[in-house]
Amino acid sequence: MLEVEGLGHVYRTASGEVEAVRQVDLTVAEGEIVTLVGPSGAGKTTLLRSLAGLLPYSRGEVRLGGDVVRSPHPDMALVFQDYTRSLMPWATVRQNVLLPIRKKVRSRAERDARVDAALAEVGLADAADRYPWQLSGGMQQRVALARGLAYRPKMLLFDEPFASVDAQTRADLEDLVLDVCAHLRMTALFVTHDIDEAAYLADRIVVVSHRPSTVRAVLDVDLPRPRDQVTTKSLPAFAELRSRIFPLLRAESAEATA
Amino acid sequence: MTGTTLAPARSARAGGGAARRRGRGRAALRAVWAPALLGAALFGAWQLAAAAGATPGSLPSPADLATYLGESVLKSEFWSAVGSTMLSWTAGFAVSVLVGCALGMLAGLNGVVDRLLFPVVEFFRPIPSIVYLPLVILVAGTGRLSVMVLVAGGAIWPVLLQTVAGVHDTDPVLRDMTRAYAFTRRERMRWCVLPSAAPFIATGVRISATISLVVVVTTELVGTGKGLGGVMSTAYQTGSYVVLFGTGLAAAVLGVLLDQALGLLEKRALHWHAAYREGAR
Amino acid sequence: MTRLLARTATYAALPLAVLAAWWYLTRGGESLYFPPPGQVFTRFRENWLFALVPEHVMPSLVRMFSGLLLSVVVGVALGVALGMSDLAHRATKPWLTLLRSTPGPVVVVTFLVLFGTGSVGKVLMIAFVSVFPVLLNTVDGVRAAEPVLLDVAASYRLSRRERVTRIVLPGALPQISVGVRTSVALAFIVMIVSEYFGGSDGVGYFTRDSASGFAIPDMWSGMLLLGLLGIAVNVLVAVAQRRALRWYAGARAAAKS
Repeated sequence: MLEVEGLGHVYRTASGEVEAVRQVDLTVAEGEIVTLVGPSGAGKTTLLRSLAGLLPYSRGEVRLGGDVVRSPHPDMALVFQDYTRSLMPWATVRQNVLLPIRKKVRSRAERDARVDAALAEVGLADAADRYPWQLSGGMQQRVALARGLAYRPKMLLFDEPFASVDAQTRADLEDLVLDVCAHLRMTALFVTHDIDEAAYLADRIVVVSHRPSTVRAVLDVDLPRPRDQVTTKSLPAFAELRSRIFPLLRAESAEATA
Repeated sequence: MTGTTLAPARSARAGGGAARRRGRGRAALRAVWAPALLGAALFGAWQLAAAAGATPGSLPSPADLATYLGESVLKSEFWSAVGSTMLSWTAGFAVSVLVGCALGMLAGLNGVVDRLLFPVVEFFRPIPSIVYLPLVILVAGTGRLSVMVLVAGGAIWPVLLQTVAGVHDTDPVLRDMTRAYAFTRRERMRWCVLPSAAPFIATGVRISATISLVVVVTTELVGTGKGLGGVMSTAYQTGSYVVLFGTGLAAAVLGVLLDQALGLLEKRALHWHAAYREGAR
Repeated sequence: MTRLLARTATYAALPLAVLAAWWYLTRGGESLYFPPPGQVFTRFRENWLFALVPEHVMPSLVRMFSGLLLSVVVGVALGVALGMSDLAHRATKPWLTLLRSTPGPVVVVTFLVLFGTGSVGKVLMIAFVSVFPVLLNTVDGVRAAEPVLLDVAASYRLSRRERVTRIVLPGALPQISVGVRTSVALAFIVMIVSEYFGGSDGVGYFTRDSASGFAIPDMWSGMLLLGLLGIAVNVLVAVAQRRALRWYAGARAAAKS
């Protein structure tokens, strides 16, 4: 579904050129959940913005279902890291979810049905007429996910979406993402810096290096589905996966600080 | 009295619902009786001084002012003067807000317009429109057009500058969001740029409202002879000091009311803004 | 260097264009109200370099700065007093709102009646109108005093006077200077309006007197001077403010990084 070949990105700043992404190749097959894990400051957000068509990349190519992605693609929906900033505080939950499809879906009834279905999918059917700032952080991120779902994309991109919620909420949201993707057979690319989260969600893990980003390793995950916060994370295979990722990231940050 | 600033509020908050209501009631009472007592004391002293002949002869006593204002509000002349001032104010203020907002949006969204406009704004902004009042009245007469030109010349700048600042303040994440979800140009303006800029624009609008009233009254006083300023101008020339001070007081009250009304409007329009939220948790 | 030049060029572009248009449109010289720029500049030089400066410019500026000084002194003193007492703040708030909302020209006429058309009355009206931005901003600044600093002051048993001069006032200074900046603009406006109304000197008086006597080039020279004065005053205050608040900008920059 998503193919990334030789992606590179160079920023031009006043003090010269900064290479944020050097060489990234990856593919995400249909129905697959791929997580992209890297240390903080690895240029993951730059990478994701390039994949989403928000940032023109300097080298390589991104293709979604065969189309070259140069600007935001209608089959791709993005869930932002900072929900307080990506949701419109002046619009209700319903309006936030509805707005992106207002011009794309002609029939009003179908639009409303889509919004209701998306909100029900994330368990927020009752909150439609409230404002985002009246909801907890976890609920706000559910709204952001519902907005992505109502867009009916073929693929969801997540940019460290749960970085600023507490541990319990985070676990709930992770399970929600797994449920929704399984239920809708959604393809997803999920960026995170949390090793557990990367391993728990993924069919495949792409480990990227400190900036300038390159792919350090691609690991297949053969943990059984459906997954469970307790049983999956206590499997020996899970521990083994963690112990393979951990050194890859740590060696990286040691190099970076040296 | 110092150091007790926060104490009542804190104890009120610590209590339950009923106590909080009582505490809030008490605070409201304090907000009412303290200024009322002070006002009574000041006006009382003024009245006594006037009765004793200790004030300048041109300064009417509070009782005279109250009598005059009490009679005036029953007369149609008073209300037609208020109406004339309000009409000029509305016209000039509306032009300032509309033009200021439109230009501000253009400059905020378009760098070229911004660079062309900025020096002009910086040049003309510090020059009060009262400076060219004599010229405008010579050329365009004392009609409403002159008033509108002068009001706009003074009141457009806060709206313009605040709008530009507001548009520039649009959150980059939100801008990314509208692109990622393929908002049309109009949707982007209506749902992202305009609401982001709204709190800034509101501040500019309230400053402009005050400036507009000042310019309207000034032109009425100096030139057109209509409205509340016109009444004052006549009273000044004929030495009717009760009329002069009474009308001045009415103009001040009008200023307060206009500002409060705009404040209420702002609160309603920006109910989602962090500063105005109710039931946020 | 080239960037500076380019910026100066952009800045000058529009004023120069206006000047050129003005010159072109008035080259026939038949317009009553719009004399050719050359004539205005000549008259400007004759009037303001520096023949009429002692007679009109000095009185205007002296009155404006006296009023401004008075408003800053009174505004800061009163603002500290009101800011440190909750009761006084509550009691005066609605009355201050009413006085502040009184349009400047209303103040001008009433003060003319009370104090006559002399300089004292004018200084007082300038001070009255421009005191409110200083006053209200001082109150806000004082009320927002850093509680931790006040605790420090209390634990070191600083006297009341020391608390005000060492902690409260410096902390409120940025806010006060915002108020002063608004006050300067108001003082300038009131200065002009007060001279439109009465008296026998000042640039405002000169301009309005020329207008009513149809001495159009004189009126233009007065308007030009007032405009330039407005810009100069604005620049002066901005520069002074930046100097006075250097520590504040530094602290903010440090807090951000």
